[in-house]
Amino acid sequence: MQKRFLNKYNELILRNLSSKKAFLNDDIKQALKYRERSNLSSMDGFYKAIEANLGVEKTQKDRYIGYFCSIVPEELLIACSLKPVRLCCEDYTWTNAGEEILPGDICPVIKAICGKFYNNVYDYLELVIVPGTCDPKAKLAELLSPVKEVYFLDPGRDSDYLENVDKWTDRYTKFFQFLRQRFQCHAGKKQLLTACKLTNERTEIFKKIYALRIKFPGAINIFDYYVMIYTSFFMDIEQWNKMAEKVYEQAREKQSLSKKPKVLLSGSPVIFPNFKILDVLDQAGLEVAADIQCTGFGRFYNPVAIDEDTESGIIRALTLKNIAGSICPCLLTLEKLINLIIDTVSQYRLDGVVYYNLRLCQVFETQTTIIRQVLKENKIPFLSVKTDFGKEDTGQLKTRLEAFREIIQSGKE
Amino acid sequence: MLKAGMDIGSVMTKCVIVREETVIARAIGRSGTMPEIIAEKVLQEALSKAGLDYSDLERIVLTGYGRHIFSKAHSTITEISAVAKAAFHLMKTACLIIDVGGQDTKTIEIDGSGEIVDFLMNDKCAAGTGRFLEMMAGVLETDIYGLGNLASQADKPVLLNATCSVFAESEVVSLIAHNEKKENIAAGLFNAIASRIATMMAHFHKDLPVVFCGGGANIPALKNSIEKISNRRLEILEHPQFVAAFGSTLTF
Repeated sequence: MQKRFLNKYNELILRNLSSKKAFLNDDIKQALKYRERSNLSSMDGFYKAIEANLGVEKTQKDRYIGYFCSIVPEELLIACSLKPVRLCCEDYTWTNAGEEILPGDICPVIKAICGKFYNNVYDYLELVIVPGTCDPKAKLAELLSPVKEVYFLDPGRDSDYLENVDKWTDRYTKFFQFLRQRFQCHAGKKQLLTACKLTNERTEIFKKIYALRIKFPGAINIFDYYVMIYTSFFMDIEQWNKMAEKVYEQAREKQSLSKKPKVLLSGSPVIFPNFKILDVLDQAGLEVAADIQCTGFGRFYNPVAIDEDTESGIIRALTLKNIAGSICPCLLTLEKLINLIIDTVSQYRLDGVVYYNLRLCQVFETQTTIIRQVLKENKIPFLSVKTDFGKEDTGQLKTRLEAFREIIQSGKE
Repeated sequence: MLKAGMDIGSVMTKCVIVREETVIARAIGRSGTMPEIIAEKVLQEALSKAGLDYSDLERIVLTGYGRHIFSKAHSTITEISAVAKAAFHLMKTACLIIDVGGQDTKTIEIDGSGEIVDFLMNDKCAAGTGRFLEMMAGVLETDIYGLGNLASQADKPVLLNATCSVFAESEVVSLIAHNEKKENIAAGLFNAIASRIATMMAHFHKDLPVVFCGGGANIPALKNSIEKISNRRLEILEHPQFVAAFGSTLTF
């Protein structure tokens, strides 16, 4: 942002002055109650990690870097001995705080993020990486620049590998060079391999959990599943891997079986503490056995598959994992998404698809009609719902989802 | 077998008493702020019309927005499934159902065996629902049926841009201030809703017969508007406001 605008912007932001300061973490405190619904004692550590992450000073020795979206390669940050923190957030009260600066009718995630930045929540971050995945994110880079150093990482919006791999490798290489220079480190192949090993271990554990949840729906309830993924936004990876392994072992022993119809959840990302859609699905008697979401399956499912053991070979492999393998609607073509949905449903014998639209997140909503049409032709029950963070339409949502369950059940009879 | 079917909607509570799939009594009341008390009252009224006692009933099935609040229910079903069951029972063919209720407007497609193929509903805002019409009727100092009567006398319906009930209200107020005829404003309001419903209808098979139910089907002006805008003929189901209540009795 140009300097002469910057000063004006700083005046406007009035940092640290949200009128709702006393309530800002209420959503999270309230949502921590999902712990009571967990049937796994091994989940305790994850809920405690969320609690500990509230208002605790970060250690001086670590250097924290914020980022958004799955297309930012954490491995490059880890290789430079930096701590990546994913900042995608859906806290209602923070959205409200963001509205003190931004207009109401824009993406609620952007409002929540700005609310946090403008209220000094992220002062401990040295840098924030903003990808150009969607239009609001591209603008976010500018919105945050008055209060934080921003690196804008734009890979373009075409996920065809052969067409773009050189361009992506170039962007990631420049980003890696920037990090090395900015943080004066000499990371290279060795550090990159160590970082990839760490995230690949996480992918392995996640895949086991994903498969277990499909085989034994309810073995790890849907709230616990999304809580685990949310904690991975800020937890140390090694620690997360160890704790997730314990959850997997405990859930595997229990093998609890749910009798509810099994659905695939796709659409806008679900992020703790905004579990409204999960709550309604649960109340309506539907089991989310699988997901296609960038805060679920899409965050962890692809490993870094290294063919060529050189620095550029590793970076190339990272683009394959993060960009070519992305399920973001800005990158993934509708055809590929629909095929992925159909394959997932048939492979795992799921009963239907629930497509969740977060109000004002247009990229997801735009593709709804076509998905509905194709799935209908394929005789896959499909329901799309649109909502926001407010609770007043819970009854209406429940009616739609219960009716969807009734349709699935009558089709099975 | 004697059954009671109750549809506790956001605006009205409807009850039917059914003997072997035939309705023998109906009662209706405003849901208000104490829906459970109203539900009890409406049920009692229907029972007394049928000359029966509560103890004569073998089953009470609930549907509608308040289906979980009445403790006397033996089972519940969503209004979407209930309406579909009733429509198939009455039509015995694949069809597209339009149900305009207080809080929701539904379009439901059922196939030749009565199964729901797909359904679409309004999102959480009140635009396109009975509640919207009630609010606008209030602005024009009449009730929902008065609004229908006004609309039927329109010579040049206004084109209303706002479908959000809050903004539509200010648009209507501003039209009144500009001496626009109430009849034309009323017709404009029905056209606005009908246009939203026609958009929903376009998502389903075009060659299906269309049936109309819910409280909205009691207003001829709404039916006319939908028919005109969608270019489809609508058949009103018998006792349209009680269709969901009746449909709920068709379950076990």
